[in-house]
Amino acid sequence: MLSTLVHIIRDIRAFFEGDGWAVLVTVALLLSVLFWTICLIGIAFFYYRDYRYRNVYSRIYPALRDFIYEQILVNNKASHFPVDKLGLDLHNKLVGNVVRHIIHEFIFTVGGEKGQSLRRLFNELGFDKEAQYEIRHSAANMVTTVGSLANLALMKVPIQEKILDQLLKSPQVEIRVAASKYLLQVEGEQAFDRVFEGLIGISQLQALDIFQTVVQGDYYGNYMFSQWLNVSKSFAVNSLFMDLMVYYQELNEAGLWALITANKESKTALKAINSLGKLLAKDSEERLQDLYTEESSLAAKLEILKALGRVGQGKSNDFLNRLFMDSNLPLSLRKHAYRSLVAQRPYSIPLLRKIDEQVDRVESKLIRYVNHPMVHYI
Amino acid sequence: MWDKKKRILVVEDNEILLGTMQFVLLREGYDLLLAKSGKEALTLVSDESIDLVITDLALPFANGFEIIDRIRKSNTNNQVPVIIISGYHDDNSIVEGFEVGANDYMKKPISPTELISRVRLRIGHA
Repeated sequence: MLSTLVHIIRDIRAFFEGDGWAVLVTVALLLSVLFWTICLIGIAFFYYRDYRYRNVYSRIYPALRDFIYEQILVNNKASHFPVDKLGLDLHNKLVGNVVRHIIHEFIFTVGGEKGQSLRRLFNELGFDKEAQYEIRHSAANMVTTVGSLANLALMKVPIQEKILDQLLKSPQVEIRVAASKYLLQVEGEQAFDRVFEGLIGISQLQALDIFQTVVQGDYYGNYMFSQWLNVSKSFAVNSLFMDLMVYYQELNEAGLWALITANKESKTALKAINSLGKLLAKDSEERLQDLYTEESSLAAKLEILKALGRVGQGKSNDFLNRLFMDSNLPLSLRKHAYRSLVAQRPYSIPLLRKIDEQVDRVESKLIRYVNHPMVHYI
Repeated sequence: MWDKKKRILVVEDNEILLGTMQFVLLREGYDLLLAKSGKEALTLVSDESIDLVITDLALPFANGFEIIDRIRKSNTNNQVPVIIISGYHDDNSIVEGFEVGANDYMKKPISPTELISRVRLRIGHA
């Protein structure tokens, strides 16, 4: 073993004592030239692609814009557009992308009946069929499938039930989320049960995406989002339903307490405590105080104090006062206890006056900090 | 005696929406002043006589709220009706829009027919 090592070291030394350096420098130079050449080719390719896109865009945009103005805004056409007049080669991928992009931009800015006509124009140009074709081959390219689903949702084009079902059960979570968003955009409230039932394995970002899709729709009803809360579900899924509950002010204290008691120090429990506060769960005020004494984690204690401040029924004033006056507690807890007392005004006004009279220098500094207008509260 | 055409200032940075509004309003016979930024709009507000302002909220250099605020404080056009056209659909933006002095608020995507009706409601036919 040792002799092999000695042998290797001798070989390396011999290499550098001979022509080794020259060879090494030549190889390094060649690699460097190769690297920069590849970089330059990449940059040139990027600029060329961009240049071609802009070139085609500037050629197509005026023609397509005038066509839309003439057919939709002047002639009030709603379907059967003379698309042959445009003379566009839509089989050319670049031309197709540019036309799709321009019509998207129009749909995002022009609404009402004219917006519906634009959607029909999009379909009559054959983009809906293209998107339908792409979603049937979902395994081939996930990004294309997600893009096609977004297109179909924007144009409100129906998808065959069988295909939609396959997409909702896809092994790729991105496709499942895109299909869920499609359903929510096209069917609205009707799709809630079907979408929420199949939400498994989504990330927090995807949960946020679904939340945005729901709240941007026209839904204003009284759907029970809390029925989907479950201790066995992931944080992202439960968090989505809690966000929806808060947004639509659906208070279900039992459902939230089930999450809190299942795993007191989990992120889900913290979010549930937060939601209780935001939903002004007045019946939970005493229970939150009990939970504070049972809890050991600082994060949970802080959430409880914030929630008590938001609930603001005045029942926890003495409890919060005790915490604020306890100099053995961490400063963050005392600060939040005082903030929550302030938030419970007018119930807490006599207590706040009393506190002002008896506080020492440290506490007075804390009060000044909390009351400062630049300090954001909750 | 010829009636002077009603003049509308349209402030919008989105080329497509600006073009569409320009097309439909010109067809209705209104005289238009176009601005793609808050700065351009503020210059036009102080220099020109205007009958109506249609403005977006998210604009480069000065946003829609600032434009309305400057209009209300200007000497020449402080009584001019203002219609906001915005992609912000939240209550806060709508309330703030009315608080700074807007007369109407339209959410994007806008219906051209509805836009014309609202313009006619404010300043009548061209």
